[in-house]
Order: sequence, then structure tokens, then C-alpha cells
Amino acid sequence: METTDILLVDDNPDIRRLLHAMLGRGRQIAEAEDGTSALRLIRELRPRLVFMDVMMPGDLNGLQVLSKLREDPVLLTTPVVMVSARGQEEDLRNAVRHGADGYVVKPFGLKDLQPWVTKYLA
Amino acid sequence: MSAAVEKRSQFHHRQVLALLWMSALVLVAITWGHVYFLDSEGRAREFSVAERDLSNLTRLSQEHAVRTLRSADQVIRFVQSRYLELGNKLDLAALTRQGVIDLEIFNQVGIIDPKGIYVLANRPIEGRLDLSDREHFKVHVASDSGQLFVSKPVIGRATGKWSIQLSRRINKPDGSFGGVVVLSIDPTYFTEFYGELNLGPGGLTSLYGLDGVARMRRVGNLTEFGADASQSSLFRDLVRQQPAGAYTQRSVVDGVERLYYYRTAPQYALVAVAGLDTGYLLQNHRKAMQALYAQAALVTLLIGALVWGLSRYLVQLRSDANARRQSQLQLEERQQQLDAVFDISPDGFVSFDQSRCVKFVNPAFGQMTGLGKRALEGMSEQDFSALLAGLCLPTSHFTGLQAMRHTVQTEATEAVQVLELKDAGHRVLQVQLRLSGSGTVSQILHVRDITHETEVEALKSEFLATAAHELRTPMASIFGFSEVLMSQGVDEESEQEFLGIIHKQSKLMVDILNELLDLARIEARRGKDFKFERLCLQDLLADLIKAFQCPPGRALPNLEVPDAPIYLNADTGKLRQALLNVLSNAYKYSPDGGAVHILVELSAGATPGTEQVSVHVADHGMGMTPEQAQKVCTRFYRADTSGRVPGTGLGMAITKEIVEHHKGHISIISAPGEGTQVSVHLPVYAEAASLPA
Repeated sequence: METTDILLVDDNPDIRRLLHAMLGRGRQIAEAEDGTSALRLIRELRPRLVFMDVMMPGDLNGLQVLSKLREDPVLLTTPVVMVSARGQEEDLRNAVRHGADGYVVKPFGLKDLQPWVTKYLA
Repeated sequence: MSAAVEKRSQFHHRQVLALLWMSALVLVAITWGHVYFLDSEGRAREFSVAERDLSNLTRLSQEHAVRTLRSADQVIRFVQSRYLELGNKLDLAALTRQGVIDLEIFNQVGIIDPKGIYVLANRPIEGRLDLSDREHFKVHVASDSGQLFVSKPVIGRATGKWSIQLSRRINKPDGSFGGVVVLSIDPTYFTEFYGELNLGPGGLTSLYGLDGVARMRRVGNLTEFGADASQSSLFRDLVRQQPAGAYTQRSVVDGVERLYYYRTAPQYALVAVAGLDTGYLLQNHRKAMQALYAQAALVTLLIGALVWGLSRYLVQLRSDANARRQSQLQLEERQQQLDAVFDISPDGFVSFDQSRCVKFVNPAFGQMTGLGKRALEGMSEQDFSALLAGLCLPTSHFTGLQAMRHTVQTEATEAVQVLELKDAGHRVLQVQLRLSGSGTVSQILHVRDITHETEVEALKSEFLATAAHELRTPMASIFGFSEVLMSQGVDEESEQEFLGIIHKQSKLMVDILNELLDLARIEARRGKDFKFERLCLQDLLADLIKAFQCPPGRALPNLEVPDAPIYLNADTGKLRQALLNVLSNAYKYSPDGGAVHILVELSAGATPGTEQVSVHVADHGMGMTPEQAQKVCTRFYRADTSGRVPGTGLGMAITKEIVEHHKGHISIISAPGEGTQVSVHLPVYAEAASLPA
């Protein structure tokens, strides 16, 4: 099995398409559209980097997934960068408190994603 | 104090004053009465004593006069009998020498013959003395009175001195007039005697004839003879009424007022009178009375001054009491006014006294905090702060009143804090401490219930945050994809795809912005720009459906309406917009197809006598859970965020606003996987109904 480089988690298909377009060239990309699938795919695929939307409907939102990841000794080292339209300082802090490794605010450009990619996929 | 009590007290006050003055008057009257009594009593006493003295005196003088005249009479009788015996041979001079005739008293004795010639005397007679015209002769000529005649004092022709002639008739043996024996007495004999008597200045001793002519009158050292007092009351009345007595009169002779005592000696037709000058008589009494009157005047003045001062004081007391009562009333009235304001104020107030203990707590404060007035009154500042802090959530940092006061004093800013309470209502209170400059109040805590405001603020913030958030999401696509297109080369298919997304999301943003503006406008204008008119619901729905752009492959909605036209008071454009939203949603949320059904039915309105029309729009689409159904009309709420259903999430919010401005409401029935029915209820147009406000 090829290593999944990046897992994209967002309930919005357009955002997933965008992230794929920006980051997908030459990389192995996986996608999930809700929290539950995200967890499953992380366990299965062990991606090297996860970009996850904070606001997701359904059982688990982004932060909840994050919490669960950090509880799992196997998965807790997975780098996860949150993506969100909310850009307040307390949103950032909240994400970090839940165990996020990074935070990107929508709308974003490639330059906003690049540092994380460089850091975790070098 | 009630008016009746007030009147009574006023009356009582007047009574006291009246009593005070009356007592004063009585005292003064008594004083003067007493003095007056002493005066009259004194006078009377003086007079009675004087009268007694005068009575004794006149007794003596009368007796003296009588004795003198009796002895004179004896001499005259003796001479008379000797003359009858001896005739002209009677040697009067010898008798005088012998002492038979007392020269000390009687200065001359003689006989007047029946013709009136002075024929015999104890002194040599010079010439022929015709005394026939003298009264002491004439009176005996006609008849024999058998009495001694006492003449008025005359100045003797012979001697040139005053004398009183005493005479008796000489009866011849045949009873005819034989002449007169006359004896002269020097009236100064009496005066000298009387002169010994001390009757004080103005005191009088006199011997009057009953004819009112003074035989002798002596006042002090002044002696006169022959004064006529016949006009005095003594001679006019008294002498005839009583033989002796006292009377007071202003003398007709010298005008001096005297107390007189008189005693008559009727046998000689004389009356002895003694008088005391009343002024002299009452001298001491007057002096004493002056002193007494002066005293009385002083006492009166004193009493007057005392009572006047007292009554002034009482009046002052009363006016003070009145003033006090006035200000008491004003105070009470003011208190009532303040209490009324205090009590009904929706804001809470807690006032603290000078020792920073709770003095007053108004009802509003009690309602806001649940802390009772009784529990709080008198509580110290620290305890109060602690109690208040105890009501708050841990997140509110209530610093306490002392710290608030410190803020005001040192930083000269207002000390305002916001407290979130633990209670079920999640109330939020704004407290402000104000320091007071007045004497009895040290500080006041003002409390406002800002729960609603806070909620509204929170909602607004949330809305803004949500709006911003909603806009960011399409922006992310537009920004991101346009960047990708510019930076990377993509294949044509992807290029078209990306451009499509950009376009779609741009449109979405436009829609969101438009709807946001709509919503904002509706809210801001509060429906004032709604133009209400009478319209027919069936016509509106028919137009709506006709203009509706059905999604491809879908059928127009079924319309089931009553035959009779139903009229509404509505803004056509806005109501159409609202219904259009509902209709589009019905199609949007049944993407797999299915019929959309519109049902219109009438029912009874909320108020009796009114009707209500309901427009039910039903689909057989994805439906929602009850929780989702509840939130449908909230702004930006999207039941489906999968992206399958396009939308801003604002449509139903706008619809709700519009329907509510038409005095209607929305209800939703839905089940997941089965479909949704959205119902718009509106009041039927009543002829008499006024435009909704």
C-alpha cells in the first residue's frame, strides 16, 4: 500500500476539491467527509499529514476527532492541521488545546498550506 | 396630624394664652383693688381720727366759749341787778377795780339807756355816744328775748379795736324797756386760746354765730373777725339738722378744703368750728399711698412684662411646633414621593448609611437578586459584597463594593461591573457604585438587569460571526481556485470545473449578501416600509406559481384552494417573496423528486370573531429531525450542509420576519426521510381591521 501523504477532511466537497488541486500534484491524497470516516481512515491509512475542517456536522466535529486521536497512543503523533473559517485567537487556542499541530484560516492560499506541508512531508 | 386634632390643639393653645392673660389681669386687678382699698381705708381712718380729734377740740372750744359767755352773762346779770338797784349811781369802774369784772376778758362794760345813749361804763365816757343804731341795742328794744345777745365783731367806736358786744335787756319793774347792759369782749381772747391749739397748717378754729358770721376766725396765725360763711353748707343746712357733726367742704371764705367739726351752742346762737386742712390731714397718707401706688404700678408692669414675655414665648413655641409640623408634613410627602419612585423603579437601588451599612433596598433589587429587604437592612458593606458575590458565576469577577469605591475615588471613573448570576434565569446584572455627597447617604449601588441586552448583544455578535463565517466559505473556494488557476497549469476539464465552482460560489456570495441586506432592511425598518393593501390570496398564489421557475424535471406544485376568495391585508411583494422562499425550499429539499403540494385552508382565528388562513407547502423530500425543524428559521441555519442543497440559510429567516410583520406565524412538521410541511398562518382581512402596526 502506498503511504497516504495527506488526508483531507471537510464536509464541503468544493473545499476538498480545492485542497486536492493545491496539494495533490505528486502526492497521495485521501479524503473524508465527516469525523467518523476521518478517524477510520487515519487508523487505516496512517497519513503523514491531515488537514481537517473544524466545523463538521454529524457525530464528530473536527475538534472531537482531534481529541480522540490524541487519546490513542498509536495515532497521537499524527500531524493534524485544522482548517476553519473562524480565525479568532480563542479558536486557535482551542484547537491547540485539543491537540492541533497547526491552524489555517479560510480563505487560504497555497502559501498558507505550504509551511505545514514542508514541515511534515519533507 | 389631622385637621381636627390640629384645630383642637390650636384652640387649646388659645385657651392657655387667654388663661394666662386673664390671670395676669386678675392679679393686676387684685393689686390695684387692694391698693385702692388701702387708700380709701386709710383716708377714712385718717378722717375718722381727725374727726375724733376735732370733735374733742370743738368740745373744748365750745365749752370754753360757753363758759366765757356764761361768766360774761353773770357779770351782765350782776350789773343789771345792781343797776336796777342803784341806777346811775352804779360805779362800774369800782367794780372793775375790785375784780368783779374781769378786765382780762372783758374790756368794757356799760349801760345803754333806753334811748340808746351810752350812759354808764367802767371807763370814762367821752362825749355823748349814741349807740341806738347798734345791733346789740336794737335787738332788745322791741322785746325781751330773755337771752344774752352776742354781736358780730365790730370795731369799737370808742376803742377802735375789734370787740364783740354782749348785751342783755334791762327790764324796768313794769316790764318796759329799760335799756341794755353791754359787755364788750375782746375776741382776741378766743383767738389767743385757739392759737395754742395746733391744727397744722391750714387748720382752722373759729367761733361763728348761727347767722354765719364769724365772731372769731383763726387759720394758723391769721385771725379775722366777721368773715361771712353764711353760704357754706354748715349754715345753710347742717346747723339746722344736727347740733354737732363733721363735714368736709371747700371753705367759702378762703377756698381751702377742710374737714370741719362743729358744735352749736344754741343758747348763745353760736357754733364752734374746728377744721383740718385735708391736704395736711392726708399728707402722710398720701405719701404712703404714693409709695403703694408706685409699687402697684411696678407690680403691674412686672406682671405685664412677665405675661407678655410668657405669651410671646408660648406663641413662639407654637409657631415652632407648627413650622416643625409643616416641615414634617413636607418631609413625609417627599418621603412618599421618593418611596413611590423607589418602589416602582425597574432598576435596583441599595443605599448605604454613613457607616456603610445597608439602609434601604428597593423592591426591584429584591426581584433581581432574590435577596430580601429584611435580610439586607443593616448589613455591613463587606457582608453585602460577599453575599452578592455568592450569587455570581465563578466567571464574573465581582471585586466587591470596597474595590469599586476605590476605583471611583482614585481613578475618577465610574465603577461599573457586570455580574452573571448563578440562577436559573442566567440573569446578567450591571452594578454601579455611586458615592453620595449628602449627609446621611454614603453610597448607592445601582443595579440594572441587562440580561436581555446581553442576550441581544450576544445574538448580534453571533450573527455577525456567523455571517462572516458564511461568507468566508465561498470566499475560500473563489480565492483558492483562482489561485490554483493562476499558479498551476491544469487541464482543460479541471479548468472548467474550477471556473464553474468560482462562478457558483461568487453567486452564492451575492445571494448571501442580498439576503443579508434584505433581512437587515426588514429588521431596521421594522416593517414601516411594508405597503399593506387588501389582496386576494388565491390570485397571489396563482401568480406565484405561474412565475415560478421549476427546477428541470420537476412539476409545478399542486394547488388546492377554497373557491371563495380569501382576502388578506398584506404587502404583495413581500408576501410573495416569503411564499416563494417556502416553495423553493420545498423543491430544494426534495432533490430526488416528488410532488410539491400547496393546500390553503381556513380556520378560526386567535381572537373570537376572526378567521385565519393557513398555506401549507408540503414536499416528500429529505425531511428533518425535530431539533432541526426548530432551528429552521434561525439565520444561516442550514439543515443540510452536505452541499447538495444550495442556499444561504437566510431564506426562512427572511420569511419568518415577513410573516411576523403580517401578524402571522410559521409552523413546521417534518420527519427525516419522509418530507416536510411548512405552514404559513395569516389573519384573514376583516373590514374593520386597521393596518398592522
